[in-house]
Amino acid sequence: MIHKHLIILFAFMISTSFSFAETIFGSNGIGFLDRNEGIRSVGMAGAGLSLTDSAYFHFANPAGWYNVGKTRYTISTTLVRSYASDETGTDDLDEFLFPGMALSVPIYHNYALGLYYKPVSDYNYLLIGQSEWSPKYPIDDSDTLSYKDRLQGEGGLSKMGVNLATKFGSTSFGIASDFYLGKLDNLRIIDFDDDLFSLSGRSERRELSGFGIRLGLLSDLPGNTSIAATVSLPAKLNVSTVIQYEAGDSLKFDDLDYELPLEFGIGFSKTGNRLRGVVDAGYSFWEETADSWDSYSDYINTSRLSIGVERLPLRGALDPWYEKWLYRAGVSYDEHYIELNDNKLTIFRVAAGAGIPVKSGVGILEFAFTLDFRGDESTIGAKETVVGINVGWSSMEKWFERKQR
Amino acid sequence: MSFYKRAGTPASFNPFLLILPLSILMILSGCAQYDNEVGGSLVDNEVTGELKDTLFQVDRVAMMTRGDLVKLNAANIPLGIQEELTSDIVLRFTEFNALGDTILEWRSGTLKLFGNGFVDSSETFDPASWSAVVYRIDESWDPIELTNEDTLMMTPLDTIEFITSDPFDSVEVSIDTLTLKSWVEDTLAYGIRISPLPGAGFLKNFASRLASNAEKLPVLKIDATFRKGEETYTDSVVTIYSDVSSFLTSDSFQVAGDRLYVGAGYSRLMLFHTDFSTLLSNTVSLNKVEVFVHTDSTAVGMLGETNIFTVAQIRYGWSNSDPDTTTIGSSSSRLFNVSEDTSLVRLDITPLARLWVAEPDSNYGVAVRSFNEFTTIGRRAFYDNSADSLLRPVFRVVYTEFDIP
Repeated sequence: MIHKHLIILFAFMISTSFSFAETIFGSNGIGFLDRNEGIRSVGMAGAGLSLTDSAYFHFANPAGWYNVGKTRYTISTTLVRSYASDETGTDDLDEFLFPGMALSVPIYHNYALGLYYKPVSDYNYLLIGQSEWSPKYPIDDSDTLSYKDRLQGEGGLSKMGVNLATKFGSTSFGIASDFYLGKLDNLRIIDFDDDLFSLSGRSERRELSGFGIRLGLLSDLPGNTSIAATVSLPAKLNVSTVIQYEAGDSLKFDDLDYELPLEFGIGFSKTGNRLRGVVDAGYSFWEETADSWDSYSDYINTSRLSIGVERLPLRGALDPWYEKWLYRAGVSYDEHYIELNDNKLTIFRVAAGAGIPVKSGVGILEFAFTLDFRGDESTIGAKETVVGINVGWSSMEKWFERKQR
Repeated sequence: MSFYKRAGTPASFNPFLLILPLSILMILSGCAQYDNEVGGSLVDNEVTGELKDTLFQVDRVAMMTRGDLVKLNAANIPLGIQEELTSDIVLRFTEFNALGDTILEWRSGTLKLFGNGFVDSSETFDPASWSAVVYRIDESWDPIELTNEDTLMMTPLDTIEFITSDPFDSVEVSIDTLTLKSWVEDTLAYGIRISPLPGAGFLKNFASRLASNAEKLPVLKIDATFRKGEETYTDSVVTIYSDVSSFLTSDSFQVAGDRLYVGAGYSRLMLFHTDFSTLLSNTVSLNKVEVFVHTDSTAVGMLGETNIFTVAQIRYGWSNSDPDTTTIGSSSSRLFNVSEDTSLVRLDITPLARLWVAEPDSNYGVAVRSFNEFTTIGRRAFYDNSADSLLRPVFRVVYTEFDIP
């Protein structure tokens, strides 16, 4: 049985290369940040730093991983439809993605180990313009030549990590080591309509690698209340750049290093009889990293706020099936770390979701629906509406099981 | 492993059933992309480049003369003088096995050549008679390397007269017994050269050893008495076929000042070189590089024109004074014709120029040769660097210059 699950995991690891979602705002810096921190959190618009339920994964809070009784893994997939518009018109896009995966293993007493993969940013753009060029030395009275000018960017940053968490009393602590890997490709191609002309072009590939530390704390307080705090220490990203000219030279050199910012997050949750309210807030000091980035200096500090609510299930044997499900919803506000057209890009999200326990103890099937509103045409010059349908599976296996204490 | 549950076996989950649809979805998701210009104003990371074109003057030019190898394969061998062109015939007979083991008595030898039309039948030929001298060649020579300018040790044997303009008459030359003995008994069969005397008015074709009509092949008929084995053959006429039948042209072609020639059959190539070092491989990507050469339409060859050209890489250094020592690579598959309404020939050398930009040390220039170099006979004159600036050979380069990274 184990080997079959490993095959599935392997397949999903391969598929993670398709975890980048396209967005018109992913053309700067290291791209558009992916704030989807696990499918349960997605269903509450990103809130969930202070949740401690053992059936979920806490990508955002290293302390949340302590509560592991059995080996668990989570995988999810997302169907995205995006609508973008600016002064040039409108466009839409359908994508099928694998946003991330994780595995957690109980190791010793209150200690638990987590392994995860998750996209950090999505970098992409594609512009194909038709232009004309007047040669200085025209031949055959061809005063102008038409060509396609293709500008393309692709890539992003991902992280793989190891998370260690434990609990002392009512407070759990966690530390996560993030290993960053990524690439940012920029391509320019000139393609004449006349087939007798060859393509010219230059591609730039920046390969990123780095290491970061995140710390988390999660404490249960009296009155079914819990609080959480996280800090992400600044992470240095080493950058190696390779420039390749079409049918020409290949140059390789080390760039200025990039840096991911110092980030703070706090969370609060209050659980009632059937309802749980969750609030998260965060702040990122991007401006402190600006000097480390080559030509892109208009970085801004960003803040975010997520508010979510979750309806808890009934567990009675005779309760109807729909009462055994978890229902959740949330709204959030987030900011992009680069000013676009001298204005701040804001992202609003409305989300709803459900969790369906399957065969008590085996796992939970998760659904989440998200609706993102990014930017606006009056300030940024462009806007994007993104509809996401997420399906995930959080499984509990008996490969490694913590002894009952 | 089967995708289907075998009858009678318990149902179990086959992970490959999951991987297959996931793979299909991954492929589909990989195709997703915004394909309009929406969001173009947000792109800040673009690779900037500018289309440019320029002309490079040829800094070194020469005509390369290769051996007359091709003439060995000609079906016709011309003899005579027309305008500035002189053409000699060379023949060699070395296979005398038909004469048995021992020659008892030499009686006579006759060389017979069959007329096969005129090189330029549209010309009005001077019906006045003209003569050609038949020489016995007294030293060895290489049929591949021998050219009209080469002097050989020779002994005149006979003078033949052309008194008619009948295109298909035959010529008989008497070969003395001393010559026959030296060829057969002394194995000094170096052959015969027939050279027209001044005053010859046209070029007449004779069938070569490769002529399609076997009855018109050049032959040497020897009347002798000889012994073959135990048998004696009295007064027998033996036919000997040539193993070399070729021609040597003066190829002077001094019609309108200095010109460069491309020859087919004569194997003449034009060599051009320019310095591309100003095109830096770390900023430039070439779109199109052409060599522009102009034909001199007033210089019409008597043995035909060649109008289809190709280019080849020059592999080693050469100088204007000694171009014949270099080595030419294999020809490009692309063919280039003389423009119908101008004298211009545009030779696209983009792949070669890209190599020069990437590896400047490999730039030994480009050779222009006839596409029919090995199959037909003809030539074409081109203006060289001393011509008017509009007619000189020149390299035209269209390229994209990118910003220095």
